[in-house]
Amino acid sequence: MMNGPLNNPKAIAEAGERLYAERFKTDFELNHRGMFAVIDVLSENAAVGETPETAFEAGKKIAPNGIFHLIRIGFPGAFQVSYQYRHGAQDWLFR
Amino acid sequence: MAHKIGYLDSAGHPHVKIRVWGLDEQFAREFETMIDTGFTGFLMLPLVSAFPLALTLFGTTTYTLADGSQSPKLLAHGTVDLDGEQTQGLIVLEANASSGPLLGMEFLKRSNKALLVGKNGVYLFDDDEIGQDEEKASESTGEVESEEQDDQP
Repeated sequence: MMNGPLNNPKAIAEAGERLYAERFKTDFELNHRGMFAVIDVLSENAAVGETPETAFEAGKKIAPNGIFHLIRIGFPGAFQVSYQYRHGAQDWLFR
Repeated sequence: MAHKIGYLDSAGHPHVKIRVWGLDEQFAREFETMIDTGFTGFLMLPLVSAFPLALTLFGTTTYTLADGSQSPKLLAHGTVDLDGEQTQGLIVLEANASSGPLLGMEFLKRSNKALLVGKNGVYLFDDDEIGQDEEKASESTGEVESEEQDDQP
C-alpha cells in the first residue's frame, strides 16, 4: 500500500522508486539489466520493455488507468544529464 | 551526405533548430536547442515551453545529474522535426524555466544520425552512410589481408 497520498509528481516518483526497490529490483536486475521498467504506483505492478515506449505499452496492458514511473534497470536514473542541469533542488514542481 | 544543420554558440556548444509537437502538428513550436552528447535521453524541454505543444503525459521518471544526484521529472511523448525529418520519443519536462531545451543521444540514435561538430558549424550524417563506408573499408582491408596471406609460403 502507498505510504502517502499521490497528490504531486514527486510523490509519484518516490512511490515508484520505493516500489521498485522493494518488489522488483532484485529480479529485474538479474534478468532485465539495461532494459526499462514502468511501475504503476496504483496497482503496484510493473512491466518491462527494451525501450521506454515499449515498457509503457506493456504497462498499459496490465494497468490501463495506471500512473507510471519509468526506471532504467540497473541504472540510478532512467536518463543521465551531464551539462548544466544541477538545479534539481530548485525544481518548484517537485519541491 | 552530411550537410550543415546548426551552429556553435559563443561557448562552443552545438545548437540546431527543431520543431516539437504532441497530439497534432498544428501545435508545433520552433526551438533553438543544444545537442548534449552527455544527455542520454531524447529531448528535454522546459515545462512552461511544453504547455502549448499538446504533448501526451506518460508519467514520471528520475534522471541522474552531473554531480551524481537524482532529480524526478515529468515525462511526455512527442514528435521532433529536424530539417524535415520527424522522430518520435519521450520528452523529459524540466520545471526550471531557465533551462534551455536539450537534444540527447537517444534522438541521434532514433533519427539514425551521426553528429559532427566543427569550428564552422554542426553537421549530421546518416548513420547508414557511415556503415557503408566502414563495410567498404573492411572489404578493402580484407582483400589486402588475403593477398598478404597468399604471398606467405
